[in-house]
Amino acid sequence: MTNQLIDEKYTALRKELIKELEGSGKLAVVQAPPGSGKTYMLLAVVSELVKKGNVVALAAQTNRQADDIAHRWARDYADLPATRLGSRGSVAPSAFPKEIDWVNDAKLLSHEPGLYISTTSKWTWVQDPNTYDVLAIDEAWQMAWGDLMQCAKLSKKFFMIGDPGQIPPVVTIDVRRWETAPRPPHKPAPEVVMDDPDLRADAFIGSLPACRRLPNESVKYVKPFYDFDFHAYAEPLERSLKLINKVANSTYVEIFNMLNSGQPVLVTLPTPEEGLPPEVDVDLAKKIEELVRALLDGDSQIVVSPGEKPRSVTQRDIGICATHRSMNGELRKALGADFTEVSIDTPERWQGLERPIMIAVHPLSNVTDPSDFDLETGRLCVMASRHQVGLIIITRDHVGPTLMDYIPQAAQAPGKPDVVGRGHDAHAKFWSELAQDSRIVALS
Amino acid sequence: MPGLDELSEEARRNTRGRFEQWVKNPQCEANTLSAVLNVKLSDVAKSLNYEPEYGQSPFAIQRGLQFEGWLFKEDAEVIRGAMEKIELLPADSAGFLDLRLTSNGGKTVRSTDEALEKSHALITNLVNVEFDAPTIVAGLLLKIPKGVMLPEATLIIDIITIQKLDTKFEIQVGEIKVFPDRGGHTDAGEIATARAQAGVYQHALQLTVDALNLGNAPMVSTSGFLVFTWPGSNSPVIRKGEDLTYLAKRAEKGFDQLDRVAAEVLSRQEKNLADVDLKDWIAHSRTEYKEVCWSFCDLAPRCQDLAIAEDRGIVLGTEASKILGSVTISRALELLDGADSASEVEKSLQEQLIGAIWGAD
Amino acid sequence: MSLREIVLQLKAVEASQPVPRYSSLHIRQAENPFMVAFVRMAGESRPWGIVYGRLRDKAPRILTAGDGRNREAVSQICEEFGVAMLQYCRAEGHSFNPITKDNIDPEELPQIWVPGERHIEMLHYLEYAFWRVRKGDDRTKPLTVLARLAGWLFRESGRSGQQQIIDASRALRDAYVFPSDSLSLGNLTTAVAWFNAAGELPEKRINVREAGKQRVSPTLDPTLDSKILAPLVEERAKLLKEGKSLDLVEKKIHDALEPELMARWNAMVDAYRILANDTRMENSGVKKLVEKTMSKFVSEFQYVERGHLDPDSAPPFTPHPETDFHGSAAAAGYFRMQAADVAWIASLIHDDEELQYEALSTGHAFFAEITKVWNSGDGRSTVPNWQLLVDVGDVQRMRDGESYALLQNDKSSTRVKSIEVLGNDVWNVHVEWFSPKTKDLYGPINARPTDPAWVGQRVLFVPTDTSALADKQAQAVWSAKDGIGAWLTHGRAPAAVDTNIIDDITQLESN
Repeated sequence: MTNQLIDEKYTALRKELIKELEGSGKLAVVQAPPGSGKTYMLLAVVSELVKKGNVVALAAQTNRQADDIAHRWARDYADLPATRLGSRGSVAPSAFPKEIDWVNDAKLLSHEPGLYISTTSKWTWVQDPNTYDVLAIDEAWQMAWGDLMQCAKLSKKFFMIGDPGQIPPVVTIDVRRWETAPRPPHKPAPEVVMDDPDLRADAFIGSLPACRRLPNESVKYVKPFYDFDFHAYAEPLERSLKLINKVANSTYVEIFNMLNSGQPVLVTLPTPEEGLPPEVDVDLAKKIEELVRALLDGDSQIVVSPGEKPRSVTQRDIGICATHRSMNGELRKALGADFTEVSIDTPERWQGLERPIMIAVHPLSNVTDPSDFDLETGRLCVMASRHQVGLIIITRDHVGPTLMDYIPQAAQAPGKPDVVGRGHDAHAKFWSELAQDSRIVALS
Repeated sequence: MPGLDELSEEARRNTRGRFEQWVKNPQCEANTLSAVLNVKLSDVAKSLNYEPEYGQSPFAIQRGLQFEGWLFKEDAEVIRGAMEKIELLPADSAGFLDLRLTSNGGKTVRSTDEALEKSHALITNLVNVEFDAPTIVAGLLLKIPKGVMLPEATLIIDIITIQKLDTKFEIQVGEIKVFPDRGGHTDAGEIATARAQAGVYQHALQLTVDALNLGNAPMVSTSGFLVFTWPGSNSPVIRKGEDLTYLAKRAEKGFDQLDRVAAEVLSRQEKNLADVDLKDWIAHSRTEYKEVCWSFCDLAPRCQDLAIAEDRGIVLGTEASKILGSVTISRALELLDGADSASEVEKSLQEQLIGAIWGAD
Repeated sequence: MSLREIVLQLKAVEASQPVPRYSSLHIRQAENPFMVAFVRMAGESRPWGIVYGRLRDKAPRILTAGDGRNREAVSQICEEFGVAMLQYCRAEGHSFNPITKDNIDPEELPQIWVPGERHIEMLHYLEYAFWRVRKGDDRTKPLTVLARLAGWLFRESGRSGQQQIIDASRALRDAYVFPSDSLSLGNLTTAVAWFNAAGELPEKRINVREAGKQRVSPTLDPTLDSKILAPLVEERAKLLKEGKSLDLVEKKIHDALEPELMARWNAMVDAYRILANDTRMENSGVKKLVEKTMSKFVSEFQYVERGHLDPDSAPPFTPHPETDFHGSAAAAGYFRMQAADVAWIASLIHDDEELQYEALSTGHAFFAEITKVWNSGDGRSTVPNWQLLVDVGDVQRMRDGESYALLQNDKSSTRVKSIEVLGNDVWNVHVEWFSPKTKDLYGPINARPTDPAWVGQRVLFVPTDTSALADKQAQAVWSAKDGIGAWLTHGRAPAAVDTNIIDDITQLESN
């Protein structure tokens, strides 16, 4: 699909959403693939509503996200009024845009047409007889249905947008009592809507048509994690990575050259006979250090946006992701003082972020007997969708056979979706597609 | 109560249970051989002087038969009522074909051959959209085309529904269990077993239909249903809309894998199978001891003894086994006490274990 | 299972016996608790036999139904047991001195022990068996009340920190780490045997495994079923058909079930004694958990029972055994469970070093260096604030708005105002003090939160009890039902499919 068509779809979706929310529609749910311009779409719709005289409440999931939205609003819609509702006694952080009013008491909200930004947590406590024309919810899959219930006094209309492929919020308690409830309070709010035929019937359901972040050639590998279709916005071969200097290790040269195609590269290390440490793989960490060093020593040149001149990769262009904190600690040790500006973190903390180049430790590396938790797709989906130019996934080579030999059980509550089966299938597809496309490089 | 001998005959030929036994621990060669050769693990355990524990209570068997009988009596009145109530079948549904053997509560079918023949006839008739198909069928019998499980690969499907779509029939498979349905508290193991079996049915039925190469063949839906009980009663609780897609894939993959594994293991036997002491062969084959073994395998105590003798981490459970990996328990203790590590694996383990003690400042 | 637990497992191997898991005991052991164990016929979910009584009774009471499928006989034994349990719990309608909010005494906690998880499940089965009432039915009948109590106890068993329904095998697993896999420990006799078995570790393992052959779950050994019970039950059925007396055969069935019930009873008593003989102190926070437990009993069970007993009021709502079909009930229940999960740690952590280590490793607690102290607001609304440098570790869950207490200050409460990610694993966190604002805190120094001497100190933050917040959230959910958005959030959800409990009369009559 051409970019023009994609842009038309975005425009059409935006118009439909506005029409829906301005008109008789009361509920809109938009699924967004990673890096698809979700917040951009959210603010584009909301700005039109505000222009038409609506009073819109916006719920972000954290204060940082709320502040980020405020910054974007100030940048793109400075002429439209907006207020940031902070917690009691709070003041605006330094560098907060002056175009946005800051209030720390809901009683001070003017309720004039405009945008009112706060966190879900704050909105649930607002005791305000005034209501809003629309409650817009960003990162909606991070909001539990129980939280949404507390917001029922705010608005008659709801606009939810988010990425269903992300890691869901952690549920630490025993929720078996509510697994078969018609409205499970612990489930993401949009999921409850989509699973309920009556609520679906009342809803406008849409999806953002394209992933803008990833290289064109990477998009197909993340699609198995989603139930809806989307395209790549980047043109084929639009992004690039080229080594300029000589690098001693010819296999690394091969890997970086493969990255230039835009598809991920799966780098495997042999699984040792004597067994694997479960979380901290020192050899793997060393290899990652070597890769980072080779990338930088080789003066890799990247092009991220079309038309831009190639520029040298810096440490800040590289991100590393591993599931376990202990492995991330080992990675920091391995990278040492030479590479302190390379960001290393868990997939949970990588959500919402991006880098031109990502190196990820496969979540199943060193896991020879996967549990249901291991087969959740959120972590791999996040790892595989942060990069703008190149992704290296590094792992021990047992993962492919482990996945192929694994026979999942479906122990979920009666009538509920087979999440484990689906997760296993998605994991297996991800691996086998890379294998079929000859994207696996085996290191000795 | 029905004679246990009669039941054994049918159990012997029913592949489903043996397949599910294999799936519980596919890496274990002893388990594989037991499933493929249809040699009970309890018999192997006895031969090694370990007392078997995994029998089935006659009360449970009788309850299962009674429940099924109750569901299907009077033209499947009870289960039909329950299905119509949740709109799994339309309100005016009619027609019941009972292919259960007389030994299993059926009325007319006396042998597996007869059941097979009638099952085949039904499926073939379903190509004709004018066929007056029964909406409920009990005990459909299939022979799995591959026949990997010696001596024969047959499946008895508890229940299917047949409904006419526009131009073809759609079959949905179901699984009946006397397990109590307690919503989210339904026993995870029981429900996983029930679903797995439904997945096997769906896959096997699809294979059978495909193998018949029929024009306008009936559709075998990937959506199935489970029939459990309201706790403490014989009232059925039916859960429709069970997505069998991945379970059918699981069955397909599982049979293929079992095919492969069985072939490999059997190929290592030089003698003719008829001349082999099968129990002895299984008793001395490679095992893969896990906690899950305690839920089904009478060799578990023997394998645990071996694991204890080898000082393996699995003695302390699955999590410890994952962490310790190939490092023995004694060696892990030495490392915890500060012994010099002899490899990167030991070093990494030592750091983690010691870090866990001194984690707080 | 955490690495720390695996280290403790290795220590247990070294000691050849279970080792303490925490520095203190986390459950209150009632002086003379009510104990109950069940057996059931395979394939059935109602009890076939019940053994119950007080720990210090001379002997427990043993009840059996001749045939586990005989509804009437099973109902009779359930009713007798149910009345005894209701009386013990001082339930409304079954006591002259029911527990109310005005007479809650933690020393008189009604505590019920069962051998293991499968017996807790039996409470759920009892709820299912006797819960259903139709319009006009007497809702105060003992079996119906038993169903409500059993259901409440079952749901309560999943609430972290509750002290009323004790799963003996879980109590042992929570208090000790064993040199063994956890699956086998689900059998209480196995867990108990670890304390009693003689010899070195290899010999102990064999002895423990032998002991573990005695089943403790409600289901019986299939060999016992097929060799002894099934023939007796068949004999009984034959006699019933012939219209002959069943007394003798039912006595034989009773005699066959009695040792099984006593084995379960004895295992529970052994477990109780093991914990009673433990030299660790009861955690100072347990009293608070007991008070909470009893408050919940009053507000969630007693209050409802009073409503049922009041002839002038409409019958109170009774939760469905399966789930909360009502959205607000589901959400309110969920928030309360969530809060309880944090509250139990919050109550116990100040008095248990091992729990502190565990909380650090699971991300519930964190160390921080105080980098700045200042006040915000003015006059009477002055609020102390701290800036913290936090070693994030595994704290995945810290979010704006979350509350933490300072270790050793269980009544203290701070709230996270903002989080700034500085670099790998280090965050700059701003917290605001709710309490205390002017009183001294305990810690590396004893000073008010506003005292600049706190700057440079390294302190441990631990979870705080947010159950008051959860109660507000639960109320907010209910009160939001009139909100303009309630069409979505509180709209009519699909109701439970009304399962017609129809039964096989022929089968019933034949038993």
